Amino acid sequence: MKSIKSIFLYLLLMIGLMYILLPFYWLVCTSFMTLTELGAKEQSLIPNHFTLENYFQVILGGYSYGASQGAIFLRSILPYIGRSFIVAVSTAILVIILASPAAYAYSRFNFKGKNIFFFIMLLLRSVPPIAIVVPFFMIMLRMQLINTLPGIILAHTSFTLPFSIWIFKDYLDALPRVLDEAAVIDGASPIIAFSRIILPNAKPGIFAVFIYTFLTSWSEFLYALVLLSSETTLPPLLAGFQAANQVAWTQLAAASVISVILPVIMAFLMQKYLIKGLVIITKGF
Amino acid sequence: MLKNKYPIFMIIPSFLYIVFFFIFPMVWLFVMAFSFIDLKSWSFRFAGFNNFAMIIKDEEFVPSLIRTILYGAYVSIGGSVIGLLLALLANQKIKGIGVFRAFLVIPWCIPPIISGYLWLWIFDANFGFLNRLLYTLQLIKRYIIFVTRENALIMSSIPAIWVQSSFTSLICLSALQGIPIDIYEASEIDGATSFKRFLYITFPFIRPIWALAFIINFTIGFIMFDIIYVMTAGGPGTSTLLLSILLYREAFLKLRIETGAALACIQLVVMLILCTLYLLLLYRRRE
Repeated sequence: MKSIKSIFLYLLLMIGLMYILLPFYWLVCTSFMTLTELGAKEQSLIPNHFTLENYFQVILGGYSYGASQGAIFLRSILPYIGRSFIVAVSTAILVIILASPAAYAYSRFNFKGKNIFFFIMLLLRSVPPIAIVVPFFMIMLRMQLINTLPGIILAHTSFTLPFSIWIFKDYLDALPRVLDEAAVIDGASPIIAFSRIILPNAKPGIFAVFIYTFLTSWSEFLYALVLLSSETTLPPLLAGFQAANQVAWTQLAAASVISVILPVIMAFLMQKYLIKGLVIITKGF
Repeated sequence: MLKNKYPIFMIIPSFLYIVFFFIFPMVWLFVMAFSFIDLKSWSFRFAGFNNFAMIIKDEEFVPSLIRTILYGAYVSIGGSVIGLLLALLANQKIKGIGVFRAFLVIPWCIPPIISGYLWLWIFDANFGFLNRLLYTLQLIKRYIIFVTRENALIMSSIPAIWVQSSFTSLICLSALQGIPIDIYEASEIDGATSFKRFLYITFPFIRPIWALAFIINFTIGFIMFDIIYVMTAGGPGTSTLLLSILLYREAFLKLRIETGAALACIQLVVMLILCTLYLLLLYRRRE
């Protein structure tokens, strides 16, 4: 009876794993196929003529000759990866610089307007980025930050900041107050107590904020599409593959695999922090 | 307890940032929604409810509002139910469960436009995996078009359901792990079946969090842009033309900034209502 139950459980587990991973199977397969092979209906469900050509084409760029489509010009993906990386890391750093002192002040001090400020943060979290994309675009137009990386970094920072303060505050609340109060009693100013005592002890919180902002920025599509026109980040490049109505399927698959690798590795390595940050959604203040 | 002037200095940078790059755009959104705008001279003229009247007159608006609500409902129901099942599965104490838990995070952490592509690839009429699988198994004679005008809305909600089920399972799993073990042990002694245990112990325990996930999943569906953009781009016809796609078209393709802003206002109001609901649930849970 017990073994039947566990066989049943493993069966369910297999179905669950397939649900999560099967969509990736065909993406990875396609990225190793030639376009001719992809187009042929008689082919099997695995790539028979294993090729790395798609990856070379996507990374190096240049003209690609499809089966019946004529030549398509492909841009090298590398500058796009570089820009995505710069934007994501800069956003994460800017958010940490802005969010950590604010979260500390929330966690430790009582001051006028504290509740109002917190309520505003809470409310802002419910404002979807798409709702303010139009005025944001106008502001960036006015500030002449259209088609620049600082423009997109400012955008990504603005809608990850409220939640980051929330994540960070939750971590600081869990840190014993004795830590910094002892420092203050010893004569250190709260600023010193914060930078010397709290920050080193709040590394998990910093990791959680970092991974949340990095992944959000890396995935963000709409603002990148609207604010950047030629030198974009990865998502608009990927979305543009099919725009010309000639989908370079195999190359698109290779580019997608490349752009998924980093978030997946990061999520695996920092899973603990990622989930802790996520769970805060279900907590009140 | 501590001196009072420090907290202000610590809060001011982020406060100013949010005022300038978040609250100011929101205020401006409302100003734009009630103005006629000339982009060349940056002149604004008060328009009253004119832009909103334009939207309501647009024959696309009401159908797309209904579609958006439907899409949100699909994502909400699908994502929450599948997510709960995944969480229950991941909470089983068997060998190798750690691997499963580690994979659970993947759909949620990858860029949404790639989730859209993944499923597009599966359903594609010429190169899709599903067609090829069915053909190889000789279940179909020729390739089928899976995404049609009639079912496009449901089909395009599948990637979002996939992503949100991952999200839901993660937060439900952490709630499940908070259930004290002795409750289960007591119920086992009393001879409760596993179904009864789920009904009377597990589910009541995680129901508040599940309800939160339900609302969050709806809001994600309600504002979805990325997945629709790469999967169907509003088509075939107008079958997946959601508010977000309509907003993008109005503001950035047709360059009717005011009507785009008015659409965004409508989205914003709906989101604020949903957020209030979410906060009510959150606080009721706390008490």
